[in-house]
Amino acid sequence: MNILLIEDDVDLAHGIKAALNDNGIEVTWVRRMEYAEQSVTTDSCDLILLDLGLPDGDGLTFLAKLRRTKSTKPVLILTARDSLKDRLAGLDGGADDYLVKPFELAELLSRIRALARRSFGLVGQTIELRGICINEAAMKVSVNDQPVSLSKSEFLILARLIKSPDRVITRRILEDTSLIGSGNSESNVLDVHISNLRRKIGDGIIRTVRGVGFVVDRVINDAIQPEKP
Amino acid sequence: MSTSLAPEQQKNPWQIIKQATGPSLVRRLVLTQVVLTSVIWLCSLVWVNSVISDEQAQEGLVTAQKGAAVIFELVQKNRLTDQELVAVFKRFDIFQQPHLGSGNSNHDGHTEFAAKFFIKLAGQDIYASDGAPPEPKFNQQSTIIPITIGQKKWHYYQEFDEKTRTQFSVLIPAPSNFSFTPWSRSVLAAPVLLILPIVFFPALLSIWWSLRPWRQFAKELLIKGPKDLSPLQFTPRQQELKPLVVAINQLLKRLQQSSERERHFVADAAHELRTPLAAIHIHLQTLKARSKESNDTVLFETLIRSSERASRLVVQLLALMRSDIAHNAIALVKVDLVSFAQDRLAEFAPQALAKSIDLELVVEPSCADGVFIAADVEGLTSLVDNLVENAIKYSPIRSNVLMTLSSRSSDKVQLIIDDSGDGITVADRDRVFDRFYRVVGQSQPGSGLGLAIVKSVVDRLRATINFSDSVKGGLKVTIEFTRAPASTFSKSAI
Repeated sequence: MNILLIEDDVDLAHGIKAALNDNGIEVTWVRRMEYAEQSVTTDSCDLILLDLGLPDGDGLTFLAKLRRTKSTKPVLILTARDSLKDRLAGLDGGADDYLVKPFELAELLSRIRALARRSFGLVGQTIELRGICINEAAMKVSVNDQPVSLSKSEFLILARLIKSPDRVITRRILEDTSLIGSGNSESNVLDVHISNLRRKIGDGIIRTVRGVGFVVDRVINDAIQPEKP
Repeated sequence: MSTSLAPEQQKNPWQIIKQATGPSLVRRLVLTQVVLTSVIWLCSLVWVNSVISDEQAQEGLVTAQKGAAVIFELVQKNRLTDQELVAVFKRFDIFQQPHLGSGNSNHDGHTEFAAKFFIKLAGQDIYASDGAPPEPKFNQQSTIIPITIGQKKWHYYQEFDEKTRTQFSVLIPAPSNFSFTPWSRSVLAAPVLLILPIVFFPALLSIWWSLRPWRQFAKELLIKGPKDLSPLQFTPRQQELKPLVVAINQLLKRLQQSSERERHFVADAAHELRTPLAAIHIHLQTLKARSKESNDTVLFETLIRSSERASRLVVQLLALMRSDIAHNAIALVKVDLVSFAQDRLAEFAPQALAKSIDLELVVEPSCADGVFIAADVEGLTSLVDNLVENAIKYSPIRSNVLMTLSSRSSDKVQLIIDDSGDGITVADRDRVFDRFYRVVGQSQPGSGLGLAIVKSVVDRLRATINFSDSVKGGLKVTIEFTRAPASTFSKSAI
């Protein structure tokens, strides 16, 4: 993988470069927007790491210019600006993700991988996690190569959870994605769907965070006590 | 924690007396008024006195001349014997004495106010009034002569008639004796003694009433919160108060500007630290990954932990300064606490999982359909995040952290976080909000700013925060928000 790093701080850029190189990622580093524009047109890079405060202007200008050229290259903003307003401006300005300095190396790597996966066209194809295979285009699911039949709502819930492993997806979001309506927690439609899903794909895949939402862990964590019925 | 102003102190009687006798503008005004009234009265008394004295002296002269004329005519026209004349003089004398009582039996009591006669026929004394002092020896005719006999002041007048060779002398009590008569006769004293209390109480009342804008002004200053540097709302029309309010507002403005500059400086400094900290951090992590020596691992971990602490401190400092700066300026939107709590807890799920802590959200039926408050999302996020983070950090491994949303009344909603950590001792509960305060003996890393941020946001959102002991054995944090009325906000953030 080849990454274009646009960062004016020499020390930080060296650090990121070294860390990514150690993880088998090639890094092209530029310090100014004008060089970045040249790099984007001449070199082939898979992903752009963009700092916002650049010596020759705001990184968001570069982003806007890039998106005007219909480029769909994933852009991960790496900045010291952490307010909600700045985040929204970055994401609305065409960035695919937003990471605030100082950050954890593991998180940077994880987000880079996630963005790369997405840009390599995983959407619409098969996603596989812990023996569960889902094909979004065909809305088909198999568990350990055995096809399983799910209702539309159940499929949407499972797809949402599997696509973001290790992340707790809140009840509100799941209710919205599965089109079962939200707001009224007295009706436990979501819980009924989840319990159906568990019956069909097997226990221990979907973990409950009570009151908050559900999560599919990448690896099984034995430390968590089995759920009370 | 209560955020009320200084506690009302129980006043003992001594303090009340001290307060009542201490300097007061009202008392000053009333006293001035009373003193001035008295001075004016005294002046008028002196003036009245002098006017009356002159008039009396003038009257005395006229009376004496008339008296002399009568006596001389009596002597000239009536061929009476000396005894008969003396009898007539005596009756005349009694007649001219002031008769203040009834009858003539008590006329002796008033002889001190009576004029005294001396009449001589051909150089021979034939008559002198009862109780008359010895006749003064003067030869000045037909003019008033002030004299003092003993302690008493008189006006002396004498006139001599050539035809009858009669000399008429009279001693008229001097007007100076008059000066104390107003007291004894209550001519002027009584009205003033009556008027003083009549002046005093209306003056007190009217001054107290007139100073109402002053008290209003004091009240507004008093109810201002410790962080509230906004200008005073009270704009008095009175020219005495206006410059004071304007001056205070200018002072408040300058204070606000300087404190904002200071906070911006801290925020900018914290912001500038982010990039070098990120550089240190990523270098350390890369070095650690490259290092194969097991001895170095502990060193790297310590370094990384320190760098994480510094990063955390910078983030918290920024959040705190931003919350302080935003104190009066930020726009509030309508936030559904249920969705919000789900989102925030979902973010913390990995952290909880790492410690095998069971994270749970309980939405009581009263909040099940969503419960809205007016808040700024950023502030509310740092508020909830800091509390949840603390709960996870201080709870032991394999325990649980519980967040509850509950609404016991139609206008309040409570967000409660229960953990099973060590809690905060009652003695520490007031101090934990202090910036950089850390409980003694605390081994968990922390910036000492988390609860200061929480307090800042709680104050800004006009919520309340309360610590108590949790049934889970740890700390129970209760935050009470005011529910937003459904129609207040058109825009909804979440």
